[in-house]
Amino acid sequence: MSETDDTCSLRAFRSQARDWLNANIPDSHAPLEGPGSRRFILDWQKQQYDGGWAGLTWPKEYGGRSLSVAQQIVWFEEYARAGAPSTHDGSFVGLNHAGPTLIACGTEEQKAFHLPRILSGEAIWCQGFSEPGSGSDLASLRTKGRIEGDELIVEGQKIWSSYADIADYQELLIRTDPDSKRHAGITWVICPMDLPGITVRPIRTMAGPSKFCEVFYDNVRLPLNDAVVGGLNNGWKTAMATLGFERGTASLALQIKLIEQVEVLVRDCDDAMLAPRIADLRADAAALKAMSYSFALSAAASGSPGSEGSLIRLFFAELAQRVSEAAVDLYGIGAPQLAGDHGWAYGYLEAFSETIAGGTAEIQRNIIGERVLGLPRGKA
Amino acid sequence: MTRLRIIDEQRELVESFTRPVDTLLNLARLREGRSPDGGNWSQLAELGWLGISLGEDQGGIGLGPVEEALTAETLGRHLISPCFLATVIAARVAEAEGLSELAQRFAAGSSRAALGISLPSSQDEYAIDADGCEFVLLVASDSIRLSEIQSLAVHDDVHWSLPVYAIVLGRTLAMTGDESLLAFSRLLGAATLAGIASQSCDSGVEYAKVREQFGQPIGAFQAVKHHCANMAISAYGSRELVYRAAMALEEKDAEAPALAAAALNFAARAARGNAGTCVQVHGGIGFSAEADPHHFVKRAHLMEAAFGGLGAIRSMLAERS
Repeated sequence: MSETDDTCSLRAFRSQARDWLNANIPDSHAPLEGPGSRRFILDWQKQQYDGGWAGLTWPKEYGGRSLSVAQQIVWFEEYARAGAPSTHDGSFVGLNHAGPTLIACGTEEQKAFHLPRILSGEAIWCQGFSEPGSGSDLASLRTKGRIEGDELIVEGQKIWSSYADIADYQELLIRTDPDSKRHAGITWVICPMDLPGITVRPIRTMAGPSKFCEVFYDNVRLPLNDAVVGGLNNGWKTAMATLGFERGTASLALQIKLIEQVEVLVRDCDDAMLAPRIADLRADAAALKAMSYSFALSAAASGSPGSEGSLIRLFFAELAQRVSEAAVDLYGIGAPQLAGDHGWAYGYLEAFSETIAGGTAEIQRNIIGERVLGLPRGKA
Repeated sequence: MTRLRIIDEQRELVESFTRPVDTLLNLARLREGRSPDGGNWSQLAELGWLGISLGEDQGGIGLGPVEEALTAETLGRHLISPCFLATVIAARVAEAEGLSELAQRFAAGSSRAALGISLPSSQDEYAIDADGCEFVLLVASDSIRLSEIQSLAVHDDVHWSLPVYAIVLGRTLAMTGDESLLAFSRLLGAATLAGIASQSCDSGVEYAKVREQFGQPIGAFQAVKHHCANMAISAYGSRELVYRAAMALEEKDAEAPALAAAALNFAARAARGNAGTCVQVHGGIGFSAEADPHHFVKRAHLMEAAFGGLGAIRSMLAERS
């Protein structure tokens, strides 16, 4: 296809996306927690799926559309422009972690069963990685999986598992080799959340809603073959594939939305003291877009995300904090102006999690220093 | 949607014709004093560096903003004299204004333009490294002016690694408010600054790998490692934004002027920030004039000043669209 044809087909794709979004965006704001949130997320996902707008870059055989990353970008741009519901909701783990991990590492049966359910709004996924004693040091995790015949018996506790209270499945990291230390001996498993022995306790966040949870596992029995993804005791590698996605295209939709929000601040800024700060945010947003688009398209062309993803991820996290902080300074406490569904105060408070969840900023900087720049690790 | 990735061929082409940069523009030359690149000017012209995007009928190569930006980034890493930027832009301004003979002289290296500075606080004009330059190029917020230099006197040859001259302007040969030439100028300023930001990062990271204290390379300490990570983000962001602006300009995208202004803003902060961090990571030697880092700090400020300073660069982006 020539470049001109390409541009024309993208333009047509954009106008289809815009028309569909304008006609279909939910009137109501997404509830932030509980059963109402579950219903909203699944309904909206199903609506997108029925309209042909789910899993744009996922393979066709699993319910996706096998489209290009450029088309995915156009969809996210229109999605943000239209003010559609945040993608950082209960659908995030399924669409951006568990789904891509299954595509990369799952068996045919696992893919055939789970992927269409994620896309069509039948199942919500959550993540079970962190533990009370294993935050930044994830490889020290201790939740056990003991093999008994064709079953895995899970014992232990996870924490900070967002949407675990409304999820159907969990991507769960457990230690399956009791004699192993650190990265070896961990397995990535699919855990249905309705099994006997699972107790979920939601925890209220500093931003208000009770959406991240503690999960307790007491003699939880998983069918071995259905549960294990990417091989027994190979879970660290499987989990890293997930994090690779997170650092790659997973947050594109969120980034594009952030860029849109900066333009709102530019439009609304009538404060000469804030103007230079907001001008810098505008340049930062342009840099974010340049980095992300180039990275996503390079990753698609080469088949694997490069190490620059960790630079983008950290830059995005800190920019999200700077943008919401500038918004609170511009509009004031309790101002009614909305960012997305829930207002700037919520966004400002929620943004504190950006430099903690999925690897703290400090860990991210270590990773950049050691894996991107080749700096030595410190003596322990 | 504008093209979003630089084509490998463009990068390879620029790498091939900027290959002599390591010998021609070794950073050690900056310790030798005034006008370090004045003596090499005809060689720069022979390599084609002064007319990359200038029309072939003007003695240029006829390539586009992407090749021009990649070149400016590479030469920016080596702290080429700002006369390079001024002369390249001057040639394009002369071409656009029908001053064909002048454009050809710039491309051939027989005439040189210095990069000017207009201070917001005074009516005076200054020029960087202007010894031997017949012309000065002044980039304002809404216009580019190409004038003869009637006379010059040293204003400050102590603080900024290159001498800054107070100048008296002679005849103005061209004055243009052309939006794409303004965007082109800002793009090249941004590319040069992205080069400075990148070189500062690399220099600091290299030093952190070899300098040992407390029995290990200082880069093993998180306090230093995290400085390096910050530099890497700024350098990467400034380069990618420069490329995006360059591609937009190449495709005459309506967003190009805004992207060039954004690139200048981001790269100016990245260059200043990374250069300062590079000094810090180097410690005592970083504060000495015998090492390179202080040149990065000073050059970042000179480039910023030529575009009106950070305040003016910010105000370009504060306008509501």
